[in-house]
Amino acid sequence: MSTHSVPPNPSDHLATFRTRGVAVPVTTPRLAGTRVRQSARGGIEFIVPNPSGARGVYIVPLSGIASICPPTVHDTLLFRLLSGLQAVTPATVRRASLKIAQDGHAGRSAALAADRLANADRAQRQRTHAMLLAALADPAARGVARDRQADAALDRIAPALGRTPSQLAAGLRVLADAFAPIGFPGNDAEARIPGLIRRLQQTCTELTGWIDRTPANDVGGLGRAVAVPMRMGWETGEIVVQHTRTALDDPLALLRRWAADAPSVLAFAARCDWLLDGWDQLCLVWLSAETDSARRAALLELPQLVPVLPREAAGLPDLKIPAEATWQACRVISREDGWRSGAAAHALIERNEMLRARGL
Amino acid sequence: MTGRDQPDAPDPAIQALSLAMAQASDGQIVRAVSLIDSLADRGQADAVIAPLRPQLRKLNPPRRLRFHRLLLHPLDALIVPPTLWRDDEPTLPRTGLLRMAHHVQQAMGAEAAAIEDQLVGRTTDDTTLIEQLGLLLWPAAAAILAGDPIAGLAEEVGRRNQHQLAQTVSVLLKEAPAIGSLIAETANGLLPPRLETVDAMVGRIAAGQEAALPMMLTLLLARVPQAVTVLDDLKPGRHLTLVRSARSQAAAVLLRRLDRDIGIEEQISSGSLAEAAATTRRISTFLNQFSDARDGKAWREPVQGLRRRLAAACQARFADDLEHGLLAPVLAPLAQIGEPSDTAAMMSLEATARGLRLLEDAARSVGGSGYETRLRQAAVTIGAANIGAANIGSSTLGNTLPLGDRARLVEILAGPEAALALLDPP
Repeated sequence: MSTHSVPPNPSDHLATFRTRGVAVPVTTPRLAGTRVRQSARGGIEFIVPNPSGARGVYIVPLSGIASICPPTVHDTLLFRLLSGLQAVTPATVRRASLKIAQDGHAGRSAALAADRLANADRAQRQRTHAMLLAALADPAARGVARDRQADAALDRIAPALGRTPSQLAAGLRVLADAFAPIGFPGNDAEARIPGLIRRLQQTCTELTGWIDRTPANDVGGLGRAVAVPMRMGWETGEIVVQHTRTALDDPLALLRRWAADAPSVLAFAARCDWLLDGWDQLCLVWLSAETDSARRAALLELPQLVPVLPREAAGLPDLKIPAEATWQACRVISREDGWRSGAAAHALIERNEMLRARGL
Repeated sequence: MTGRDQPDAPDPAIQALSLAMAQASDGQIVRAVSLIDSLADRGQADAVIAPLRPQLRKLNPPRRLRFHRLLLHPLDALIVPPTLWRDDEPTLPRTGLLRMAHHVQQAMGAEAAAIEDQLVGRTTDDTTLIEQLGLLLWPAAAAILAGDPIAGLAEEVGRRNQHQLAQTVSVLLKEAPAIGSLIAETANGLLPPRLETVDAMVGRIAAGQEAALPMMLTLLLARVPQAVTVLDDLKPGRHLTLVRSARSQAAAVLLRRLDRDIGIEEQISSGSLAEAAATTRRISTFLNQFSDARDGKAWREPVQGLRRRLAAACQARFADDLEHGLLAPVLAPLAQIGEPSDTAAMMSLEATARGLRLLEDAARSVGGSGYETRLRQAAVTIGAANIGAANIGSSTLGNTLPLGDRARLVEILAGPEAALALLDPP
């Protein structure tokens, strides 16, 4: 096994988040880092990093995965479900992966965790909807009074927007669903994206602290190389979350924007999910490693999991994306595959299923 | 250790208790040891455990962490009962070490008490804590043992040996972090032991405390068997003859231990299946490395014999756990079942299935055969067990193991294709 810092290569640069694809929480060790995206030829395709860790990826349809390695039952069923998606986004992939986990294909712990997460998602959507309603009404109003005032506000603006009040009410629900992962400022303890940013920050702090305490832990300089995009990940995540939340300051204006151009508002809300997509798995791999030997082994897995930013990220407001964030900082190249085949694969599959039980 | 720990004359009550414990079941032994471990003052209770040590090694229960256990943790591979200790072999007598631990504890005073506070309620399974506290304790203890004579040590190891033994233990504890680092680096089999680390360690000991070198290499080879060939690659120099001689002594002790003391069969039959698989790999690597080493010819015969015994021990463990740990609970008769599905029981079954795969994988490296066929047969049996049930100890899985759960077990035993065939019937 060898480690390399990687010089920039323009041909490696991805243009957009959609061409980068969405990270799939696979349990098959050799498919670590796999992403899914809509194919230009229709349907979906999978982007599988070169299993050796060397440059290049395999871009394969569902039927091509097995030629790389036999996926676990969990992954096979997840891939099948993904292949039926109308749109491939972090939100749709998340729902699909929760469904497969709820069905027990990553074990019973993951099934229980997926139930909890699905319930938490639902509760957060309801909470966000309630807060949007409250923002339309008198701040002091509660319960039925608040709902009446919010209905009145929708009645007032509906004619000007060329929509019926019930359409606007439905729109408000759609917006609540879209903004729920971000949460309202000061009330985001249960929101997923701020939770992910906190987890990313914690991972970065623990990783750098571990290396600082014992520099010899930093096998091949991988830890420091990975910490750079990790820090940028949570810092840019915080900026984009704050910027996206400004839309929640004025729900009426947000509804107007939605009425005029719903897809652009939904895309605006989904930016954080796209920006931070893929970091959860990396954090979990690191945080689940508790001993020094487990952390050193985890370090060798991280480079393959680092989400490289596409050039599109530079266009996000308030962000300064350095060029090096758009290429892979380092690689771990395996001369042989013993560390994730045979017995090692069983241990890694078990670990990956455990990660599914700890996901956000 | 206090005088009370080693009574001059055996107490009849303790003798009677020891005799009763000799008849106890495995579960009773584990509970009794846990109870004794939790005592603030063990006193003569240690004598009750003494005859059970071989059984304890087999059961391998987590032990309560205590100051002396933390201190002596890096020396584990060298520790022998006083009756088996010889001063010309790279081993350390348990009783002498306990004297040293007591001496260190007294000398450290409040610092030792602070460490003890952190050990409350923790067990030998807390490897992270052992590592963290050990890095504080071991170098401090090394400095203390290198100093003043230790009260009572001469009575345990003889006046002639006491000074040298304390110095040796001091050196080994000083090197414990370096050995720990090598273990951590190589634990997952991803990286080989670093030549520079081994070279530096050997150089430090050979320069000042060469008598400690055989013990240091015993510790190293017991935990990092891949280091055998690294020792062949050390830079030629004044220490080379010394290293070769020390390595031979270390190898002799470790091979003898496999053959006689702990014994291969006992090691493979104890602990979880995952531990048995890890032990198989470690022993197999150790034996292979000795065959491959420059003086491998000298070891060929004993190594071949041990390899055969290792293969047989793996077969026995595999067959036993497949039958009693997996198939019997899955196929338990309906009459035994009455409770709703139990997640813990299912996870226990999955752990057993995974353990069988781990052991199978490890055992193949020592020439075992037939494992895959038996795993596939077990998968077919479980796949067809649609009216079977599972009963794990006091937990039950309900009167029908759901298809999804059976598919999970089949996937672990025979791979995803077999499981998908169960889930997607033609």
